[in-house]
Amino acid sequence: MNTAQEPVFVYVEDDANSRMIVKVLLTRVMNFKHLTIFEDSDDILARLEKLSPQPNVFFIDIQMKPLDGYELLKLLREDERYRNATMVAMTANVMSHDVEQLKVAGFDGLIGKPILNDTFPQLMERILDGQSIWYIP
Amino acid sequence: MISLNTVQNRVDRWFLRPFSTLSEIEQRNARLITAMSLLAVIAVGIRTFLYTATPTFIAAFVMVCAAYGLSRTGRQSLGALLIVIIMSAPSFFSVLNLTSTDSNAVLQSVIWVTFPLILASVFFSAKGLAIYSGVFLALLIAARFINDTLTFGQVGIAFGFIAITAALLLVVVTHRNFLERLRQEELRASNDKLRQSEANLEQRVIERTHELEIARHEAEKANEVKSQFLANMSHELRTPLNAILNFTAFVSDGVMGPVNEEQIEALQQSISSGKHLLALINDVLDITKIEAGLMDMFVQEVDLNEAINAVVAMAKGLVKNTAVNLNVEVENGLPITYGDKRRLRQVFLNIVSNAVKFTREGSVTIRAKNSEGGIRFEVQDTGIGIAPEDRSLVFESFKQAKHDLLDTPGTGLGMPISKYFVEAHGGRIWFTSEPGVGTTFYVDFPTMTEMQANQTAENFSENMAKVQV
Repeated sequence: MNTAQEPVFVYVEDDANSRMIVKVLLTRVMNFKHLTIFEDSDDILARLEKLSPQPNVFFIDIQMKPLDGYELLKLLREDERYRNATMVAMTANVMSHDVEQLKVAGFDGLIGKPILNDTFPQLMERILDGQSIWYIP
Repeated sequence: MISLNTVQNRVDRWFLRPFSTLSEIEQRNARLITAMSLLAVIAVGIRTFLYTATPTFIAAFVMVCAAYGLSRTGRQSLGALLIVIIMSAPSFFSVLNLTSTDSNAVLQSVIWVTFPLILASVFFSAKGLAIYSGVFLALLIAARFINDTLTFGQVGIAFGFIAITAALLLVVVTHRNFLERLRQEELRASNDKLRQSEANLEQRVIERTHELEIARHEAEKANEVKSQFLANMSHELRTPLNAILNFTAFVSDGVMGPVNEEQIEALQQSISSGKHLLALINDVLDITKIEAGLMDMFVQEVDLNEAINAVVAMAKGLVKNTAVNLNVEVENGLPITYGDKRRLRQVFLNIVSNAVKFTREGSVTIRAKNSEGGIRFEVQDTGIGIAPEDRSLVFESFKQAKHDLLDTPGTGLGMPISKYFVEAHGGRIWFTSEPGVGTTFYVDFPTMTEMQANQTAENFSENMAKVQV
């Protein structure tokens, strides 16, 4: 999926620090314009509907409640508007079997925590280029 | 057409049927009786039909045939009885017809009864022997009254002889029976003891198996707990570092407002410490997993050129602004193999960064070439080298030789971890070194199929766990 012209980001994360960090990285360091951050997954489809433009890149935290990252992924993929969006997991769960689980579940990539700000821009470029990145810092 | 099999079966049935349901002793007796009756049939037959075929002899012949028939068809005790009677009959009849007045005349006729008496002691029970002897003795007395020419004296001598012989044989028989019974009881006792210890053994085996099951289950649970703990630790330790590294970087990079030189330097130190901490966390978790036998490798297709080139790119960054040149002699066309891409890269990078770390000036050369069945990866440096006394420490955990080049201290775990992953991929790692001249690290990796890679990793991890126990 080619999001090179104008990626529209959505980040679902319940940790305040992580939200702030990704916001700074995407909007201030890399100057992307479209980023919406959700603290939880309540009514997420309804909230997503209201966005304009519609998102095409999702960053999803795995350890959340009530829906964890896997359940959220499933929910989004079932919706035909977001079925083909790029879905990248952002998590500190980076054991080998976790990575395997993510691949099997249908994620398009992983950016492991802690996010390294110096490598983040290259990772983003490759993700937006359509590459599958599984990055463990 | 009768086949050989049916003849065989027929013969077996005729020879074996009477005996097959009896105990050993009875079987032996049965065989003896059968043999004797057969002999009797032959002997009497010859006497009757080749010499005098008198009615007596014919009758005798018929009776021994009957005896043989009886013993062949499983009624060997009847057969034995018949034989004994037939053998005693001549003596009895000769006493009946005796006319001599010699005092030993009756004895001379009756002495032949010794043979049937002995047979009776072999084939009959003690009671049977007593009955037979009693009956014969009674018949002897009766003969005195039937044959008037006999005197009590004559009969008395014969009576005495038979009575004493029978009594002696009875003693032998009862003694023999006693011994047999004793042996049987001993046998039964030892059988019982055997069965008891068998039962005990089985019980113990069942108990022990149960214990082992429980132990195995507990060990599995313990491993699960350990594994879960490690996963949790990994998560808990990484999350705060996310905040530490990034917020510090944001401020240091001026994203949150202007910063002066001094502030930048201070923040950079923070960041580099944070990165070192991250390296430590990764290494400590890795070595813990390795030593618990819980290391999981993620086997996938690996393009070795791609992996090594990525490491070369990182190496270029490491030597930037140093007095060390980077030489790259990496063959193209290195094979595609199966393994854990991230771990292979980790190994290559670890060796390269060590080389850079311990080289003040000169060069670090990265070589990779096809070798038989795989690749040979080498990193040669012109660094300070490894002293002979430190050689054994290289692959040991937490051991770093002391020297003054360590401004970025390592974790002391890089090499042991690398060694583990090299060997878990079926490879070999070793080095040569000369202090003051340089060091060269070598790694041989075999190319593997997906299945081979999975199997090798699994076996290796299991063996590690076994060593720990």
